[in-house]
Amino acid sequence: MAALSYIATMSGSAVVNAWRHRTMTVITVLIVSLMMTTLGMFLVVENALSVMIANLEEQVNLIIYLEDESPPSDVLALRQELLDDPRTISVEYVTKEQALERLRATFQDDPDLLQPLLDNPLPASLEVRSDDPAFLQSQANTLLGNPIVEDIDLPQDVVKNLIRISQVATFLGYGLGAGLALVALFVIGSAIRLTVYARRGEIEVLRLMGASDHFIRWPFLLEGVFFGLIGALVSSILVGIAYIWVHEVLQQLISFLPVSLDTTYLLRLILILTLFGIAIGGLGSYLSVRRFLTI
Amino acid sequence: MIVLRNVSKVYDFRVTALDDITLSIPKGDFVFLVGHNGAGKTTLLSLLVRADRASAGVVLVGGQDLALLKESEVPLLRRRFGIVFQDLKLFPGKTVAENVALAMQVQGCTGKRAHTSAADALALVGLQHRASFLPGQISGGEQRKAAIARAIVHRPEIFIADEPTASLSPEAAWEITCLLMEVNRLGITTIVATHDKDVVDGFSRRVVALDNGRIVRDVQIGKFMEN
Repeated sequence: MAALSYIATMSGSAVVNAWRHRTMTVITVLIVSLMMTTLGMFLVVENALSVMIANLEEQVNLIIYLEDESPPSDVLALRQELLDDPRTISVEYVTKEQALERLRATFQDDPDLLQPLLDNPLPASLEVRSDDPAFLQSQANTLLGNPIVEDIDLPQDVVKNLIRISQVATFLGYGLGAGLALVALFVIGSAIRLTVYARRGEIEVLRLMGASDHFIRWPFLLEGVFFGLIGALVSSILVGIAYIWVHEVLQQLISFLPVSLDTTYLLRLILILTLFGIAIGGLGSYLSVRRFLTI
Repeated sequence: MIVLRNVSKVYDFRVTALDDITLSIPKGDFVFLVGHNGAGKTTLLSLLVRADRASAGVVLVGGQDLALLKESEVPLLRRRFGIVFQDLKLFPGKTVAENVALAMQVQGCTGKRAHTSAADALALVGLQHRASFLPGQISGGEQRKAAIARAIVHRPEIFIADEPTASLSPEAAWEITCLLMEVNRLGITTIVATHDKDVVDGFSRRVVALDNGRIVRDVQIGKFMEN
């Protein structure tokens, strides 16, 4: 009961203090919101890029053209061998007839071009899909020596670029994300420090009245958490809107890539921002008040 | 009982604020600490609540050597005091009643009890009708009464007031000093630092005079200046 009364007193004190210093409260909440929104926007863009790259990677196929006289058992064995690798998404067998159909479909507007063909010159093939460009590259090198393989087709430039983009995106994702989080920590910490600094006189008086460190620290700590929470909620709304907007823009710009809205990701992002806000608000207050508890 | 034995306080190895002070104040005593600006009055008071540490000598409060006090014990020491600061240091955003109740909350007394005690203390200083006012909405004399109420609400052992009558009219200064006498009559050891000659001369009490950090006079019933 006493503990509840204590918590109620501290919480009440935090809310009253935040209200009575509302100019500082508004400024601090705005700064927290701004930094959290910046961080959230970055995470949204980073996520959209990651999804795009993943989709692009899935669309890269390794095409293995087969010798016409290849024994079906060897073709099946090769197909199974490829499927057994966990990096393989799918292996599709395209017969000579299907290949010709595709060619005809491609030139359906100009059928005269295919008139001179007396026989089907196209080979059967295995189309391998994987989300790992490096794996496709290694398979291409290995399979070139296989007697049932006539030729290999792998879009080298696309693969190499995708590998590079993946690496850069990963580096930027971690590096910039960590950097931005540090900047947010510093800016939010400074804003809270200013709030505490403006009330250092109060802390001094409380100390001289015999207040314990806990008594002084808790209202400030709760205020910091409150700043972080409100800032996180504001930024969550803005980031949520930005997330939907970014996806709409991407779908219009790159219509051939399916980039669907991921509500699980959005909820996870809001949860991360909220926890980050609470943690950073509480930590910022804790460290700031500590400076003035030396009287 | 407060005892200072050969106490000195030197700031930055140059400025001597207190120089070999020896002083004893029995429980329940009333002492005027007089002297000009810079005589060392505020420094002496700050040593008593461990807001500062003595450079040399021993400071004992209730038999407790303050030099040996752990940091965690300092709040407990300060709760035995009631302090009226020179600039009062009332919280401008809190009402008079909230300012007074805060001293009870600091002691660990929360909720209704803190507010009941605050109301009693305000009644004692005659300020109950200003309970819901902010400090900025009441007069200077009333602000001092509020500060006194905050200092005594938890019934401290020792009451310290630093220049409680500064910049008050003679009538208001007299009223405040009468209030300090009331506080002392509650059995609270009372130390009042002042350079208000009229106040000291008007009340026949113990006077400890400081000059350049040294005690130049300590008389049981004295005047501000004596030839």
